[in-house]
Amino acid sequence: MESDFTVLLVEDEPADVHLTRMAFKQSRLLVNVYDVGDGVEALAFLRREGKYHDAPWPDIILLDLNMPRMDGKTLLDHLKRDETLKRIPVIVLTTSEAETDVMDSYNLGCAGFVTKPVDLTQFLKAIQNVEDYWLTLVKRP
Amino acid sequence: MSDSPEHADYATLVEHHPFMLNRFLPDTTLVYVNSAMATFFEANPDALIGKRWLDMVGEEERRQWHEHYAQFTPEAPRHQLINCVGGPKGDSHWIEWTNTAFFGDDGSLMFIQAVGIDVTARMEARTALEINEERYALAQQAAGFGVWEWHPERDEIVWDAQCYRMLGLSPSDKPLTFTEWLSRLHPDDVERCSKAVNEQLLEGNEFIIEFRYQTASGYLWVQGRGQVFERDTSGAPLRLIGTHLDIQSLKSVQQELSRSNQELEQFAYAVSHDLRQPLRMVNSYLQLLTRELGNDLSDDAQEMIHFAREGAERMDKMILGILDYSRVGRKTSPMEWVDSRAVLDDVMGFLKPMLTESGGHVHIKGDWPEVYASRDELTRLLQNLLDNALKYVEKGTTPDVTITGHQQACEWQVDVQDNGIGIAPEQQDRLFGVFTRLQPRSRFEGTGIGLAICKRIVEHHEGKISVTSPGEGDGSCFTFTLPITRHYQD
Repeated sequence: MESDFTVLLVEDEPADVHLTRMAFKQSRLLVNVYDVGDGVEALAFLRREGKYHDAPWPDIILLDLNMPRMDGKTLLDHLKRDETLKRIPVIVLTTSEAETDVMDSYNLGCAGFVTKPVDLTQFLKAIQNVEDYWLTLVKRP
Repeated sequence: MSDSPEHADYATLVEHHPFMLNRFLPDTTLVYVNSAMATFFEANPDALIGKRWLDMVGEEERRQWHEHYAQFTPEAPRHQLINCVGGPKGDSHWIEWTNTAFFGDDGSLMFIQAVGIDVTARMEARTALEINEERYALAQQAAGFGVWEWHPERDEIVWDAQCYRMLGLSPSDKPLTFTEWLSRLHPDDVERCSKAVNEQLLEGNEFIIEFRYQTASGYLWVQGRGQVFERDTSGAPLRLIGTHLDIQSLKSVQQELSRSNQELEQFAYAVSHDLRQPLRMVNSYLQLLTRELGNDLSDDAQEMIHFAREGAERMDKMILGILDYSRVGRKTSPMEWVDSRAVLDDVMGFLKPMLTESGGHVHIKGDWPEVYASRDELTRLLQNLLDNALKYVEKGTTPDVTITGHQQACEWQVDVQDNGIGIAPEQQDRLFGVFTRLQPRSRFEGTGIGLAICKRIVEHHEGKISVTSPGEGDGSCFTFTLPITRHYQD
């Protein structure tokens, strides 16, 4: 599928994956969303290992914090230590509002921190805002 | 001896002097006793004269006398002696003797003149004092506290032995200076303690501070208490006395408690995060369903979905409430001196939309001093109470609330009086529980966590909160107190 942009969604909750995909589908842009269920899968995707040998290079990464195997913070740490991968903007997208999560994520080098709104309309709006800012407004490497 | 009247007067003087006067030969044979001496022994002077008093005293006094007697020389003819003299009835008195020896031209001791003063009362007082001191010392040892004395204007702090022992140091008589005292504290405690000392010792009277003291083997938690006992005319303190108490084990328990509280907070966080995630799903997908089905849904079905969503949203608020509740005392701003009026003004700012909407009034009265509190928590407390006072009113009534501060000797009291729906007396105890609601949701929206948080905040500040209301429909008055004793604990 031809697309303008590629987003890697690292999220273990299928219901959230569905909502996020839906939000991008409503977009004016053609956004191709790939999803993986945890940090280990995300690294394999980004390094094009195994079944991900022909995975595309994402424009941005949307990252949940609470995941099995390798959680969001650990993955973030891996990404920011990798000479190549560190250039991809990572936006943390989580249910958490905890101060410590916000602090830790920025300390580890996330580009933004978004709390998932409880209300559907607001959730869709939040994804729309992420898209407007990270895919349209800013210049990425 | 001369017979002149002057000498006769001296004799009379000596005879009637209230001190016991006598003269005796080197072998202690009495040659003169005045009436005071005779009266003491309840004897006729003649019955005493010619007798050796050494024969009339016990073994211990005899030994004491021989030691004493050896000191007399022409160069040093006068010495004092205190001994215990048995009266005729077997009661003993302490007598202080001033003995003067008279020597002949050849240097031989001729006689001794003795002046005796009964010092029994003084000696007994001294004994009582010694018993008292001993009792005090034992009590101090048992309680384990050390005593210190500080003279600010001389810059001298004197410690007793226990103060040193507590820190594993050998006692010293050399006073400490204030700077030396500070230099022995843990670096993290220096600023807090010197501030406390400056404010409390010099302006207040009593104080309690807790700090870590350097010992030979690391730091020891010590509680210092003290009081100003003397001030000069300008009010500057001259003398302070206080105690040091080893509170290491207490602190260890406190640290353990704070660690376990931290774990609980982490638990509350994890639970709330994990519970909110599925809730969000329920809510979002119900919304999606409504969207997808839209007009195909009957009114009944729409209402069902509406109730389901409302339930999910309410549960989300309750989870957030638990999280807030668990944060009181841990994740809020630290305890510090706070201008209570500035906090109230902030709260009034937050309430502005609500006041505009309801047309209500908040009257501010009384004292709004600086209080030792967590700013966040005090804000939250005042906001919750005023918010409730403005919210729980009968339809059609304009909320009218009076908030009054009362500065009292050792606490600050705040009353929030409203003209609201009131509370039935039998309900007043339930009011501060978690998730307790007294009003149907159809009438007033709320999760029932607000007053529980208020209670927790007040308790975190070691204060009290209560409510009085004549009954339903008659308004309520919420009252809380915060202690203003000046605590300087970390």
